[in-house]
Amino acid sequence: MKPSDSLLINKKDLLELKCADDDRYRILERFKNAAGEQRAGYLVVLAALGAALSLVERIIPVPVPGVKPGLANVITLLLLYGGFSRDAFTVVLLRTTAAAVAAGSLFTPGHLLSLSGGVCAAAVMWLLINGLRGWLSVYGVSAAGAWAHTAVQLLIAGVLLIPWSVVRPLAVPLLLLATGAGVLTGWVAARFLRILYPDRMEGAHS
Amino acid sequence: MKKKLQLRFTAADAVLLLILSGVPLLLPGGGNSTDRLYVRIVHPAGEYRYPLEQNRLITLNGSHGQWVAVISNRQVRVVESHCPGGHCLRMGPVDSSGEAIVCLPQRIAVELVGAPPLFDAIGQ
Repeated sequence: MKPSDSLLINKKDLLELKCADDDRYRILERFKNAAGEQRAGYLVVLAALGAALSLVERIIPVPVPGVKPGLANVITLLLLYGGFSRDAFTVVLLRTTAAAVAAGSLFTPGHLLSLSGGVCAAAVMWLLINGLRGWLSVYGVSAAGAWAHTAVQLLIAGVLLIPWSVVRPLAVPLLLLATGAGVLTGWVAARFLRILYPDRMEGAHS
Repeated sequence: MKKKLQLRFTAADAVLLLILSGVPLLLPGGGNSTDRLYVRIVHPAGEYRYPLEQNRLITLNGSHGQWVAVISNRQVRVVESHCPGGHCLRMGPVDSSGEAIVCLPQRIAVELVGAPPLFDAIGQ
């Protein structure tokens, strides 16, 4: 097997994704039908993409350290909406580990926080997508995921790492920011979902 | 079965966003209670605790007779003491955590302390 076959989301596919309807399905079909090494290859690419997004987001200057938009969550959303729930969790685990290795924070409290946050966000979004289908849009699901991500991190930080009295005043602003960031990533995810699953949309215009 | 894909902001989204923004306000230790202070008074006969928010007149008998402290406007001050030095009277009002007024002759100490933190035992 040539590497280009196993790890293919190549430039051509990405470009075609923009315009050609048939190829949108082709990408999805390829992903669905991929098995074994090939599937692992896809997941590794998605995880690496997520880790890269996390790392790039850290460079963006924000007033409070540790606040980032969480664009890696878009990948989790795309997988969950496609029904690839197991893959979504696999990618979260791979992504947080890869980002921790790259940032030099493997098995530190920071790694624990991003891992638990990512898993919890995926779990909440999975529940909302599969439990409340049709009610919530991508925006709500994404916001809830981002909120859960932050809430779990605050909880773990407050219980295990630093006194609750220190964490508590941060909770309201951080959770509000997370909700806003969730709506933002929801918007990004909506744009991708529109391209990937055009046959499943409801109430969306072109 | 294929799941429906809702890409438009819905009413349920709005409700969810409201709930998500509201929940943090209900967390334990919310509002003022994180910076709530107590007036701890240590006296030979025992120890007393009063919230700094409630105005109050505290009258005790120390080793040199009557001793009166007042809690008002989130401040505490000693207003009457018949001790020889009168340092506690000149100390004036105190209002932040950790501050104290000690009257050695009367053997009375006033100290401002915070509320016991929720997870202190686990956090350490």
